[in-house]
Amino acid sequence: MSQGRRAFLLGACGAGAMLAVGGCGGGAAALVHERASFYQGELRTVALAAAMENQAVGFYRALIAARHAAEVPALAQLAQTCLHQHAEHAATWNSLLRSARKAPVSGQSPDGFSPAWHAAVLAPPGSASPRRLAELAVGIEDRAARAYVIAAGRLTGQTGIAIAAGIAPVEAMHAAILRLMLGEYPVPGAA
Amino acid sequence: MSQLNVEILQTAASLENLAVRAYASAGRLAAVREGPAALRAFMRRTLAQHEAHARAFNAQAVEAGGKPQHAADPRFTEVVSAALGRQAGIAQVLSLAESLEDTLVQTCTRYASLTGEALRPLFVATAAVEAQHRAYLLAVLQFTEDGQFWLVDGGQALGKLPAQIGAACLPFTFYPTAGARAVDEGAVR
Repeated sequence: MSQGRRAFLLGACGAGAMLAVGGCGGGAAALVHERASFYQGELRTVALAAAMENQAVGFYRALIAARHAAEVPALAQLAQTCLHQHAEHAATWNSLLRSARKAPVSGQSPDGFSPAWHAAVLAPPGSASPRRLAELAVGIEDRAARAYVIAAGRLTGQTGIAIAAGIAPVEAMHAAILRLMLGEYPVPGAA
Repeated sequence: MSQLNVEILQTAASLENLAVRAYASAGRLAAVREGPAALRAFMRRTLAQHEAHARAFNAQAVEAGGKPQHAADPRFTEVVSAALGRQAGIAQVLSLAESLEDTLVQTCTRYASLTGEALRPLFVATAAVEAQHRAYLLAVLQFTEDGQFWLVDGGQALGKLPAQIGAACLPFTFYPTAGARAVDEGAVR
């Protein structure tokens, strides 16, 4: 299996298994298991975080390309900001993998095991309403913020802890502004 | 648990107490009482969330063998009181609240790296909630600066928000910690 193919499988499914962002078929389970074993201990959490960020990047790319996104400039521009920040997060996690001499987790691909949001945004092609796109984005950001709260407790290296702690509030802010756009209360729960 | 844990939990509680005091004072100001209902509701719920955070930090401080901190952070108490004088306008209130939330996010984010796995999720989760408070306040400040204060009350329908709202309210890719408070600043003396 090529490096890119394996990396995609982790990105599309490995993070989904942990973070419930995407859905995977049963055939993917063995591949995920194989890939997960490539990253042991601390690096497994790092790899899952990178994959989760890649999924967010893929989602926002799809959102920006969606037919109705441009109808709401605030949503389209927010998506650009979020995309940029998630890409930076992914690059940071991947730099940790590289420093440990492990392959970075890269790429989102539509073939094979698309996350659940992919169908929601793109089928029928790009027809999701701006409101539906924002709702999907809230779900992704909420899950990411919660995942980093958990990851911060599991990581042991100071660099990884600081990165997770520094990203969690950023994902939470994404969700708050998206809720504001939806006319919802921006901070639904206490810690 | 260590003395360091007790100190950072007490300091975090003192900052939460300060936020509770600030939102309580702000809620009594004419600028807020006569302002948008959505903003008043936000301030009430945010005050309650800060109270919950203070209780959580104090419970952990006691669990760690320390005393609970019921006082507000001593370094900011006078600053907050002065900023929320009777004549304070809405922009002044929003700026102060936004600044307090930013300090809390930076402090909790920093403290997450100073403590062990048991307390770390509490600090990160609290930082995330305070960051959401700040994002909302930055949005309302943006509306105010743009002369679109009416957007606060029910005008947040998707098509009505200014295009630059995302960039204005999401200033960081990684939340900074240079503004975190000293670990013993709010410790019980």
